Amino acid sequence: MNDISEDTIIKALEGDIGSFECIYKACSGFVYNVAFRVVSNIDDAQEVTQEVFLTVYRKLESFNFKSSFKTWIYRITVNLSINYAKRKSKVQSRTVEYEDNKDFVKTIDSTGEKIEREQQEKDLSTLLEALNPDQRACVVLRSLEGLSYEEMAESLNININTVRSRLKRAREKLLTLRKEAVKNEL
Amino acid sequence: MNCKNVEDLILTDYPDGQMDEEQEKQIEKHLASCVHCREYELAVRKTVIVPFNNSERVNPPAVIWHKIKEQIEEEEEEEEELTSPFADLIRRIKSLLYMPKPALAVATIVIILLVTVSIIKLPSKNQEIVKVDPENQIECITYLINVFDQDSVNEDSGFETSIEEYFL
Repeated sequence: MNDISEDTIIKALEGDIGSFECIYKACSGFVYNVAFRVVSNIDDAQEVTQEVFLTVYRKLESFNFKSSFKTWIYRITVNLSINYAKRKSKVQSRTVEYEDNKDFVKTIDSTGEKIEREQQEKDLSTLLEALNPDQRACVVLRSLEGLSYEEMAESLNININTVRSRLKRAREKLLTLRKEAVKNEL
Repeated sequence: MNCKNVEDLILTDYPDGQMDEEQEKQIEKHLASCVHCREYELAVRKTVIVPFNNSERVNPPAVIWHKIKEQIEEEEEEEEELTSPFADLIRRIKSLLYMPKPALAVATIVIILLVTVSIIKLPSKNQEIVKVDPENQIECITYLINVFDQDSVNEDSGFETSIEEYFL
């Protein structure tokens, strides 16, 4: 994420749409990627991204300048993404989501990536879909966004040991899944 | 460090680089001497660490910003309307006419009940009238019979009715 000056945040807070656009440009990449990995499809990721920035705009005055702006946005993104994924998992079947993921893979392919890349993306989606939204958010923040345990704890509003235990359980689950897949192949 | 502790760290702090140098050295020392933990570390790295390192990052489509901007402008317009000179007047009128949803529902139910009760009651009033009528009719008939009897008696004396008799 590009650095956002305090001045830009204050101007956005005063209603300057240009300054808010600067914030959007600096943060939309990670917001969109986190949302996509947690909610598992492109359309939902777009909806969540939109909702994240509207929430940021509406709640900008509640931002405490003592804490990190990046972590604050991560927290809003993760909360909205997890809630969206939980709500959706109750009403939508897995089949539809799998179809949506195939669409995502196609968009990468259209940019000229190789078939191997396509397979890697498919495997990654399968791994993430095996996890529940809370575990998924943890893995995404650590393994895709590279946040430290401390930043993760702050973004997820949980203590650092809960971060460890969620990551541990998530990875154990993925290992078990992998073992089962290898057994089935044999 | 026993194997259980090492396995826990292999799943978390060790691959994520969250350990200090001293702890890392201890893990590596254990891995060098323990085949089981070494294999476990390899499986973790291959299955849950490497696939994420090669992940693709995607750029959000431009349409998202347009939608956000549109929504913000809409909300600001609404806010401006609320802060206009007439806004206070409109708010007062609205508050006078305002009825919360539960109250509205209760009022509707009460009105429906009143209308239903009044419709059901009307025939019962008519029925009361019908009940009273036969008694009145009996009284009337009795009176008429009496009058008729009197007239029959008067017929013998040559007068038509009691009224005629009065005038004559």
